[in-house]
Amino acid sequence: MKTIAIIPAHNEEKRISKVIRKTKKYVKNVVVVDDGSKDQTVNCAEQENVVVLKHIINLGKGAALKTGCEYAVMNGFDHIVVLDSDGQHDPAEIPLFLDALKKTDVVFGSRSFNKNMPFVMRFGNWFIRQVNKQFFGVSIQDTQSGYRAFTSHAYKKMRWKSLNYSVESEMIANVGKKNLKYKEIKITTKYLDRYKGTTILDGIKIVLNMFWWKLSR
Amino acid sequence: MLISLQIIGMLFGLIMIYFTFLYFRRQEYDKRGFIIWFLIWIGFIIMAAFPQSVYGIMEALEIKRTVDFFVIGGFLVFSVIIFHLYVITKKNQKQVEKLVRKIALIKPEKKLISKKKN
Repeated sequence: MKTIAIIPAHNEEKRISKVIRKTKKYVKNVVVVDDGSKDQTVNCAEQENVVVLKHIINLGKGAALKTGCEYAVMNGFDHIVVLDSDGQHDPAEIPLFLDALKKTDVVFGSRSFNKNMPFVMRFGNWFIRQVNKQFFGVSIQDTQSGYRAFTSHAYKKMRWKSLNYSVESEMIANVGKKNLKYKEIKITTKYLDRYKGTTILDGIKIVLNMFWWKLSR
Repeated sequence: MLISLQIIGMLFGLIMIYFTFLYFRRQEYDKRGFIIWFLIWIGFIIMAAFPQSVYGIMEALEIKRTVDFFVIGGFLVFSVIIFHLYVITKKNQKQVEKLVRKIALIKPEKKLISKKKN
């Protein structure tokens, strides 16, 4: 089975090299999708001898992930692992995802909700979790974790339209709507940047989008 | 009161004609766009200067005050413009996304080919 790790990156020159090096220990094929970074992210990634796909302008995380997945499909990869470029996900857990992927279509990484996770994120996650359960019949603890793995076959079924942080929720919605098999595994997470990631406004947009995904096909 | 509103309306129309001309000279849009917007502002000035020109329409719509007519008319026009801009923005967003992805996916292939040649 051909496996590829996709790392969407935006202004991550300080951490991207380390993330790539760690990821390469577990997956031979690594693709970095630079989402219009203004710093040296592209140069740092290219020095690590991996494929770097460059968005000439910033489109958002969802778009960067989709570019990476399209590359994976175009090049005949069977399994896709996606993880963040800021070092909050531990690549050492990739084998756990690949192991779980043998029996299912999609594997969601789930962070533990302890005091390390900001309160707003904990509440947002809880709320979105309830809506997910009601609307799409998908019951997972962590709806916003970006550490996931899926088969190319599953990706083709759940291709998303979201350009931004709604992508994680749209993936879940599509998993429910397309009746894909899924599993959730525990992951360790470090919170390195408080100013990055999903904001309260993003959360509101995500919930509004969920209503739309429920109504649309 | 009405006269001061009329003056403000006419001045606004004249200022917008100036900007319409300015952006046309800067080639921000073509002659067709210029003519359409010029006619819209001329119409606006005429209606502000001679409110009686719209009395016929007001009677048909059973609107008593000229100000009400302009407020309702303005709201409808803005709604149409906002919808039109929304459609254009969404269309552009989709096209930009497609284009950016296409460029991102073409370049690594080219790199691989050039590496093989070397």
